Amino acid sequence: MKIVAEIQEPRLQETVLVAESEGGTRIALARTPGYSTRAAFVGLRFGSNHVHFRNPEGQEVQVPWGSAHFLEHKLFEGREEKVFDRFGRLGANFNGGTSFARTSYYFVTSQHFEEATEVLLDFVQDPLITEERVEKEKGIIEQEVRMYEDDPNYRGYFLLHRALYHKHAIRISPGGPVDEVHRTTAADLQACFDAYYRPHNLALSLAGDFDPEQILAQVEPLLKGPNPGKAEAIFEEEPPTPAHACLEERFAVSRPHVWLGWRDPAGPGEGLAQLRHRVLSSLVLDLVFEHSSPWYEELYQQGIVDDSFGCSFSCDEDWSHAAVEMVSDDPDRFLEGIRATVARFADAGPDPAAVERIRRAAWGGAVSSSQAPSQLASAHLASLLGDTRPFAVLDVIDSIELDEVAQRAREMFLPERSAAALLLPQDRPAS
Amino acid sequence: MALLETLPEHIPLAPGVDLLFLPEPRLKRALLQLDFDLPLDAGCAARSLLAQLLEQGTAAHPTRMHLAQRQEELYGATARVGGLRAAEKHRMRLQAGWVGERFLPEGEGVAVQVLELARELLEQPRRGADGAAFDAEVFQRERAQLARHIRSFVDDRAGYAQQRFYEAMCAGEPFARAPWGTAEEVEALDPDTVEQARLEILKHGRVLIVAVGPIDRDPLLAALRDWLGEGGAWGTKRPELPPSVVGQPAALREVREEMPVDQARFHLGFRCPVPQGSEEMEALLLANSVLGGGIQGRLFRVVREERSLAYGIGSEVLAGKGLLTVSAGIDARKAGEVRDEVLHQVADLAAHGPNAEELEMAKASFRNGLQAIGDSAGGIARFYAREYQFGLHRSPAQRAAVLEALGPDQIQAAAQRWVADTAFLMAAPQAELAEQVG
Repeated sequence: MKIVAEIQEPRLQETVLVAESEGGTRIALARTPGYSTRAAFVGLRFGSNHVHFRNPEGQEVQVPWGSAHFLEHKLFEGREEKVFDRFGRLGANFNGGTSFARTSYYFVTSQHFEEATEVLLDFVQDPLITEERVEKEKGIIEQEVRMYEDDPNYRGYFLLHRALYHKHAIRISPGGPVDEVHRTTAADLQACFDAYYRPHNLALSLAGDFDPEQILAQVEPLLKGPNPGKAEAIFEEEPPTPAHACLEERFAVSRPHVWLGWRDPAGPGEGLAQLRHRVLSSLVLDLVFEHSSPWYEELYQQGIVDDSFGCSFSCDEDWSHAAVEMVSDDPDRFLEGIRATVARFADAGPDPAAVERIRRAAWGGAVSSSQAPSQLASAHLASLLGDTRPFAVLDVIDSIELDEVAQRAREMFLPERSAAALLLPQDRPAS
Repeated sequence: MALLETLPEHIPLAPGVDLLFLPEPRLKRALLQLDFDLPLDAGCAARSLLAQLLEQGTAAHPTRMHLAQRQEELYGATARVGGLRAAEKHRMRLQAGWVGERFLPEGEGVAVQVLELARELLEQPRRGADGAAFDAEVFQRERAQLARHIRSFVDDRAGYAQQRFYEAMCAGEPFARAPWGTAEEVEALDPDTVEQARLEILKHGRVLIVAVGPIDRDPLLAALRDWLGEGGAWGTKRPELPPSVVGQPAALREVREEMPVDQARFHLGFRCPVPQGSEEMEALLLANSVLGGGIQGRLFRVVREERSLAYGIGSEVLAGKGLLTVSAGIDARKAGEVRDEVLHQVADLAAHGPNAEELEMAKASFRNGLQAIGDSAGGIARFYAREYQFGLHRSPAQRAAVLEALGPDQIQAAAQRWVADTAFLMAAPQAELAEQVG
């Protein structure tokens, strides 16, 4: 185990140690004096998009949609004993999550931190995946998938993804369709685990009131030794423009749910470039659609948007899009109003005073989200997996120039890069 | 790590207005929460609309945009108004948060300005022309929006099913009322009625204020005394609220509602007495934890892990109302199996109590939760507000001591007081279910 860096962030009064194990696992440690809880997050860059890959041994592997999420469920089964029981005895809160490109597992506890860390690193590195265990889980996952499919917000979100992208894997939800869940086998999950769950792909982030050296000494023997080799994801080539101008679906909703998205032709890549792209794009969205924006206020006064309105920006290495959504009785008016507003905003450019105000608010947000050990551990895991320095976001926020914002606004809202998605009540005439 | 042994300073500001103050310079963000409690009654609709209207602007910040800009200028401070159901009370909550001074440029502390903004929200709404209580256009817009929002609540499957379950189980009791009112009630409101609701909150609401985090005591106290103290702007009589109605079911009722859903929503409600005192309260909470209060609970372990009947299942105690509810998302065709398993687990707990491992796991979970309280302003505020509302006034350490002393007999006794009332299922029509695969 070697210490790679000690990163001081005096503005937040935080320090992070970054270390690396013999097997290549990167570790972040944040000491939080005076706090009772301690948190550990472990994760890797393997998510629901990775259903087709060449494993480190050079073989091409294709697994059902939802495999990364299924594997996450199965890891919680443990080898000898269920992870639920082991954490339960320790009183720790724990969970896991699978997104398009990452999987993570964590616990937060105020007691038995060392034992809980041992449980975490054991079940994530040493599973037992059998056909019987996989079969038993299918009913549970089916219910989880059905729960999400019943949610108009979730459903509409993926309808928009299918409008924006032709072939990209983010068109499919992380849980996968129910029929794909049912055709998943133990061999599929084992193939995913063997290809991706290798020490050098894992990142571990720990935060709490502990002695970092002592924790590193404890963690070192719990991490597996080197197992080199890199799996390579195989993705279909994605055209740079939206797949559909608009997709509609009939669903059991009382009123139309409307989404409008704008995609970039390609993703922003990795590391700091991605972080900067994310921050800049979010700033542009705030300037148009935050409650503090005169553009948004005008839409609100005109009744084009209401409190069901929301906006978001989402990207990873190979995709990038902004989206707005609302429940609207007049989807056409909503879409026209938003399109006209973003066009006017892109022409007018950002108001310098508004940029400064949002920067101030972002600082307050950064302070507020770096308080509890679990917040810090989660943020540092994201940095490790995103190949950025912890707290780099603060420097990015400070360094963004007005011209850059104006340029991004012009690129971001190009009409030819937009697509809409409508979830319409069953009894409503087609729009 | 020692449990939080501190008790907040309890400062009565006026009859019916209390402040719990816990300065905590270690935290980065401060929290000020003012809860105004009123009966859960027909006034809910007016108060819900009021909450929306208050966020549309004040005399000094005439639109929502201006309010939002002010909050951004104050380094992302927040000041929000909302309503919620707390047992059989309608709780109007004004919540403000801001970053502690040590993280702001020298001399740029924002506490005083945030407090002023919070007070301004409640006291100085943007008025209409000719002295109207609210701007006519804003009033109509927000009223229509709230009514639309209530009508589309049906699209929130889990929230809607829970509300329908409460309505079925607690029909005729105040608890059955949705705290946001009905669309029809909202549409019938006029500006004067909503203004009366605003004055009622300020004059007659029972007020609990909790202030936690990096906050200076004296300026806060002076501002609150001036506002809600005995000689302050609203030093008025605040009546006690009636106790909750505690139902006594004769037999288990089965209610089924049809909705075009993929996954059925299952609820099973039990009645129990409102706990009296510290031990009864903790025994009830521990018994719930053993049943289904988390991943160590029987419902998760048996219904999900052993029988694969649900993805999420759990139970919850609403102690102030005397309710224990189980909820799950399930395959409708297996509703009978889920219901029978839950009833079996409850009966078993009442007949035999928890085993040693179950009890220890439930205690470990509570121990962990209690020790974690001090790590966030929200956690601290929730804990002490709850202690105050139940008249217990304990520190986390004192509460932990009560929990640790409880044995299986007391848990069993608590479970014996649960009486099954209503099994509720919201599911697709039977014909559609027959077509589902899997």
